[in-house]
Amino acid sequence: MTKNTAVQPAANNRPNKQKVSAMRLKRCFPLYLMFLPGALYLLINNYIPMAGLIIAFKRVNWNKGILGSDWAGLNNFTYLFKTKDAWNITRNTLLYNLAFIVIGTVLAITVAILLNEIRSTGAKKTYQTIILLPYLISIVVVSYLVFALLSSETGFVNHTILKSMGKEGISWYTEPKYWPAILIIVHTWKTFGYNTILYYATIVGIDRGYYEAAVIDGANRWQQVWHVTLPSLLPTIITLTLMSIGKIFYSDFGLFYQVPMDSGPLYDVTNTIDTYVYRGLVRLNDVGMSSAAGFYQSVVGFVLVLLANWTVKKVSGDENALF
Amino acid sequence: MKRKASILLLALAMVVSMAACGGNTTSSSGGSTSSTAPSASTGSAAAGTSETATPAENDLRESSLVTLDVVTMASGKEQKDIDLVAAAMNELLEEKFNCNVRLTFLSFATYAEQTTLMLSSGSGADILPVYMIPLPTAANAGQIIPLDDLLDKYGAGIREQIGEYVECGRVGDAIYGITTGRDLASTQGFAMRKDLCDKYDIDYENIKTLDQLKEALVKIKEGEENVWPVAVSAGENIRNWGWDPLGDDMVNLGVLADMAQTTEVVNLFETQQYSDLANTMYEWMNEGLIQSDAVNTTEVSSSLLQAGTAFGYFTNLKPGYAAENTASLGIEIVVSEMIDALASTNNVSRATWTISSGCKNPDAAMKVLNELYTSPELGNLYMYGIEGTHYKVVEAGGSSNGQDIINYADGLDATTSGYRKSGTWLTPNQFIGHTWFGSTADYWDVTRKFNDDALKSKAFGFTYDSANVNNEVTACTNVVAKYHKALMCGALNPAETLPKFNQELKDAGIDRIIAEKQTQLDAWYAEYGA
Repeated sequence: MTKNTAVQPAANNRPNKQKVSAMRLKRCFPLYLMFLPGALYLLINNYIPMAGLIIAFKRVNWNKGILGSDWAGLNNFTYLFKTKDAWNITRNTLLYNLAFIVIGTVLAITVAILLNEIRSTGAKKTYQTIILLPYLISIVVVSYLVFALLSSETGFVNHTILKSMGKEGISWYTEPKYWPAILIIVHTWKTFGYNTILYYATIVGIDRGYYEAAVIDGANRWQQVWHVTLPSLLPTIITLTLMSIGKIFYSDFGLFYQVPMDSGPLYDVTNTIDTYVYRGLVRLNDVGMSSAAGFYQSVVGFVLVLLANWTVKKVSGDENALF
Repeated sequence: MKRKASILLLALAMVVSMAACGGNTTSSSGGSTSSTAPSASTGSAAAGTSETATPAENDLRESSLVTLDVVTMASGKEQKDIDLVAAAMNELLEEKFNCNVRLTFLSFATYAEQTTLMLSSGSGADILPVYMIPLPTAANAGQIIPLDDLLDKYGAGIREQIGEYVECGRVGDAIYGITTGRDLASTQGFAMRKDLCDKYDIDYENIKTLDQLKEALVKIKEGEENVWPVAVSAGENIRNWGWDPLGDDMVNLGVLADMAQTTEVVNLFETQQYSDLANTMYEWMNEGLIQSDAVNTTEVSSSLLQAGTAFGYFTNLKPGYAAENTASLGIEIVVSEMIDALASTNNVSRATWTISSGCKNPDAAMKVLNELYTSPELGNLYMYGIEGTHYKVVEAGGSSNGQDIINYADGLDATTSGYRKSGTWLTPNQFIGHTWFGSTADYWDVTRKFNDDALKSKAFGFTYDSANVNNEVTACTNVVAKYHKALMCGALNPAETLPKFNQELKDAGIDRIIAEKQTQLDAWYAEYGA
C-alpha cells in the first residue's frame, strides 16, 4: 500500500490520498473492529481513572465535589515521607517482585524441561494438572491453607514438625523475619504452574530435528538441554520477563493482604504500595492521602518501565524492546 | 540520542495530556458527585415549599415515596428476616411520612471498612451510625452532613430524648452526629462464662485487679484443656483501661491518662500504665492464657465462647451487660468490673447516628431518625423484630418505662431467631423500648443513673479537631496499627517493642499532635472552665 502511494504523481496527490486512506480503512475495517473492544477496555479501565490523579492534590470534601475541593498542594504527600513508609513499601514492592520474577522463571523452566522428559502421557497430564491447580485456588483459601500450616497452636509446622523435632513453636504471625521467605514460597507455589505450561508449550514446539542432530553429534541429555532447548526458549523467556518487569511496581494484592492475615507486626515486610493505599483508605478514611500514595506508585512505576525498556534495548536490541 | 529524548518527551506529553483530559472527565464525575448537594438542597427546598403549601396541617408526608437505606451493625450472622421487619417498619413509616426503609446489617469485623467505603462512594447508606471511624474525619471530609437545621425542623423529639449529650456530636460549628440512647460512660472489665466460674469456684464479683483475674484464668488453663482463658475480637484485646483518648479511641494519640483526672495531654504509649499493661499481657500470652492466634484472628470473642472454646474476654461494661449478653449469646455470662465507670466525650461520640452526604432526601432521613428515637413502636420493631415471630411478651407493661418485658418467641433462641438481638446498643434509642427478660424492670432508669453518676473526665464535652495535624495523624495511625493491638494481645515483647514503637511515633510527629490537642484543650478550658 505504501508502494502504491509512492507511485502516485505529486500533482493529484490530495484526492488520491483520501481515496487511499478510505480504501485502507475499508480493507482494515475488520481489524479495527477487533481492536475496538480492547481499546475500549483500556480507555475505561486504565485511562479514564487517571483523572483521579487530581485527587492526590486536593483536600477532598465530598460536599464540594472533587473539582470544587480546595487544593492541598503537596500536603497529601508529606506523611508518606515522614516515616519510613515510602521507603518500606517501595523496597518491598520491588524486591518481592524481583524475587518472584527470578525464582519463578528459573523454576518454571526447570519444571517445563522435566515435564518434557516424561514419556508416559498419563503421568504427564497428571503432573500438569497438579502443578496448575494452585494457580486456580482463590487467594483467600490459600491464606487459610497457610494459616493451617502456621497457626501457632494447632498449625502443622508448630504442632507436628517442630514438636517432633523437640523444638519450641514459633509465633509466625508476629515474627517479620520469616515472611519474605513465606511470601515468596507461597507466591511461587501458586503461580509457577501457569508459567510452566507456557514454557512447556514452547518446548513442545521445538523441531525434533535439532535433537536428532544433537544425538548424532553425541550430545547427552544435559547437553541437549543446554544447547538446544534453552536457546530455543530464549525469546519466550525475554518476552515473559519483560512483561513482568512492566508490572514490577504492581503487587499481588491478595497475596500481601490476605496471606499475612492483616497482622500488624508484619506490616514492615508485608506492606506493598497496593496494600498501603487500601489500608490508608479504609483505616484513615482519607481519599486524598491514599491517592497520593497511588500517584507515587504511578510515577515510580513509569520511570521503572522506561528504565527496563532502555536496558533491554541496550542488551538485546530493538526487536525485543516494548517500544 | 535525540530520538530517545523525543520518545521520552512524547511519553511524558502523553501522561500530561492524560492528566489534562483527566481533568475534564473529573469535571463530569465531579458533577455527578456534587449533584448530591444540589439535589439535597432541592430536597429541602421542596420540603420547604410543601410546608408553605400546607402550613395548616403540618403535614410531614413526602410528596412521593422516598426509600432510605438504614445501616447498622449486628452479629454478622445471616439475618434472614430482615425483609419481614423492614416491611413492618415501612407500614408505619409510609403512613406517617410516605417513606420506606431498606435495612442493612454489617458485622463487627468489617463495619469500619464497609461504612468507610459507603461514605466515600456516597451510596448504600442514607442513615447510619458512624462507629470506629472518628466523627470529625467523616465530618471534615464532607461525607456526612451538618444536622443543626434539620434538628430544629424535625428533631425536637431527639433533643428531648438525648438532652445535652447532643452537643457531644459537635464538630467545629455544627452537630454532625447524634449519640444513641445507651450507657454513655464505661466500666472496664472482664466477661466470662458462668458455668466455668461455678465449676472452678471463681468469685467473679470480687475480682478487681489483673492479678486476681490471673489466678482465675490459671485455674481454667489447668483444668480445661481445650478452652482459651482469654479470647480476643478481631485482633483486639483491650481497647481502653481507664484513660480518655480525647477523640480517637482506636488510636489513642495523646490522652488524659489514669482516669483522666489531670489536664495534661500525654503520650499513652510512654506511660507506666501502658507499659505495665503490655507487660502483663505479654506474660499472660507466654503462659498460654491468651488465645495464641490473637493477632490475626478474624473471629469475635463471643463466638468462641458460644463454641465453647474460650472462657472470657475483656470488654467495656455497663449496667446489665451480663443479662444482655446472656440473652444474645445464649450462654450464661457474668462479669468482673475492674476499672470504675469513666465518662469521656468519646463514650458519647464513639457511636453517633449521622446522615450521609449521599442522601438524596435529608429531610425525610431526619424525620425517620427522629421517629426511631421517639416512637417505641418503630424502635421496638427495629431492635427486637416482630412480636410473636421473634419475641413474646413476658410481662406487658412490666418495664419501668411503660414498655413490656420480652423474651425470645417460643422455640427460638439466640442462634435460631431470624432477627438479631445483638448490637441493639447501636440502635438509636433503647430507652424507649422493651426490656429484655432477665434484666431488671428498671433497667433503663439504672442506665440513666449510671450515665449521671459516672466519674467525668476532665475533658468531658471537649471535642478535638485534627485538621491542623492531618499528616501527623495519618503517619502515627500507621505506626499504631503496627504495634498497639499486638501489644495489647501480648503478642510482642514490650521490652523490645515499646522503645521502637515510641521512636517511630516520635518520627511520625506524635509530639505535634499532643501539643495541638493540649492547645485546643486549654482553649476549651479557658472558655468553659476546667
